[in-house]
Amino acid sequence: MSERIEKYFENPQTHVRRIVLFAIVSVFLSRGIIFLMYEIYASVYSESAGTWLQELNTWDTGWYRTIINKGYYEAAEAGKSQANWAFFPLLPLIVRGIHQLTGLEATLIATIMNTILLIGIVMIAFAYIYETRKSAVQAFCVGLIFTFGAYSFYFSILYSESLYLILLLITLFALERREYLLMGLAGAFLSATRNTGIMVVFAVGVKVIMNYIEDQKERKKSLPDFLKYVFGDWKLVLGVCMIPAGLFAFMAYLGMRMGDPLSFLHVQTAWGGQTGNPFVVLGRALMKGDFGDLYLAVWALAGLGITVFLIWKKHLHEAVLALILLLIPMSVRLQSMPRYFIGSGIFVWGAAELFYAKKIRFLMPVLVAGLAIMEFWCLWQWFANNSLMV
Amino acid sequence: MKKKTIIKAAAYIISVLLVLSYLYILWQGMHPENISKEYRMYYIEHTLKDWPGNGGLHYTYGTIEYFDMEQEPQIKRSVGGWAEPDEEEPGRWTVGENAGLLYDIDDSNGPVIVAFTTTKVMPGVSVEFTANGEVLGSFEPEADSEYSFEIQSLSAGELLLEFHITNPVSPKELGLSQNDSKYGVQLKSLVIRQEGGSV
Repeated sequence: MSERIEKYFENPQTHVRRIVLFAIVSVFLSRGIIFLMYEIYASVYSESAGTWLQELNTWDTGWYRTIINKGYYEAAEAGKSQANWAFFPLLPLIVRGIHQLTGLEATLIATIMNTILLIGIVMIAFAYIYETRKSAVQAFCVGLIFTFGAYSFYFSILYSESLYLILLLITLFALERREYLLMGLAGAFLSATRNTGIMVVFAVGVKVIMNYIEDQKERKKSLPDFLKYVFGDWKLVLGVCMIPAGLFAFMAYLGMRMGDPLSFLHVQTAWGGQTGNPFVVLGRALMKGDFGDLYLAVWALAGLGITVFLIWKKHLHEAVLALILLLIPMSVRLQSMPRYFIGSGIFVWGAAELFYAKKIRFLMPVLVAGLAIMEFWCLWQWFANNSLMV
Repeated sequence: MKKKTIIKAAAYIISVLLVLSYLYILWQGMHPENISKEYRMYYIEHTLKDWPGNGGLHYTYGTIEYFDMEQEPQIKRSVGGWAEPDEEEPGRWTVGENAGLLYDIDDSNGPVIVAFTTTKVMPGVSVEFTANGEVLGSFEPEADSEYSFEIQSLSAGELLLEFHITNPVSPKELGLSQNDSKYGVQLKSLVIRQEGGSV
């Protein structure tokens, strides 16, 4: 089966066409399954079920709608300390722009837009994994997990998952190809999409060090030489400086709007939780023993395991980013751990690479099929408003 | 060659300008000026545990504020020591040994009366009631009772009312439930009125 997949994608003349076809077919099929699941759910709970758009777009989609319809709050209402400053602007800005042009409803725009972005995600992930792992099988499996796997419905609703992942992929792909201006541009949009978007600079830093070591193989390495290497490349310097632009533009806007440029950070207090040691948080969840905590803890442990694997495989820049994306949310709570696992992308292609190891390659279909089956359960729980899916 | 040099120079200049702008915005973020006292206390310093809204700590003498969720205005002044408001409770419990409420007040121009109503009380607790650290009175509270204390005068500024609870007890200790939070007294309402003024 592996050889068939490799052969299918190996011909340079049909390579791109076949990746595009794979992306389109897998996205449309998987969205069709999501719609079918909704129909089944609605037939069981016909009295309480809303439309498919309503049932899919719940929880935080409400916050994005407030930004799209009314903009960011000037102040939080008395007694209601949660505010939409926590939600980054790029997604609502784009949706609002399309809404003003077309008059279509925001959730419909987001569903269509994010689904189209998912096609892009599958394509760019394929190209990135093919470039970095030289394996069409891994790329193929990652595409299947993004489209059919657990939590894939997040890529077609009014959440920032699709936009974040496609921008992250473009940033990492451009970094891999040393196209630093494209990296900077994508990174700037990435840092305007979610609060962890800015963290990609750490991956860039590690990758630049790795490039330096590789490029200067025959030469003596030193700090002054490294600094000359970095600052001598104007595209690299400008690209790195561009990445935080999205975040800081948002901060500047918040400062003008409501007085506190760091309000996106400070407002987290309204959602409760104290910042602590992520491993203590994980340990507490494992000790508590109830299904919800154990379920979330398993995802966190899987993330840690894949991070270690990425280090072992010397994908150090991906490992650093994976660790940051894992430890930041873990330092408060394990809620949303599965969504971050899938939505960050790195853990998915890390898992694909892990399962592609010769001795356990036979488990690869089990991984993909397992996650696909799990999606049915995830969707049902999502329609049922189970907070475990948030 | 010259064009390349210009592009290179422009790139470095833009990079420096970007970094300087980031540092400026970050500095503004670490020293926000155009925010209210309530915002700073709740979101940044975390000394305020309820969000009263911008300007919400200001108090107008004679306003009855309620601890239950049925009536308005609800009290949103906790600086710690209070249970979360509960729809099913007729008031709000003190938790632990100290429960504080913060007010921004105007000059009282004379004596004021602080009056509050209890709903439930844990057995064996006693309370010392203070205003800005000054003891107004000590008592063993009873359920469904009103208590009032006089303060000679108040200057414009902050007023911190505190309930210091001795022997708070948890429902778990009383065998009522698994809840191990130590409660003292549950309050229904509180008012600060100027002497001679009516509610």
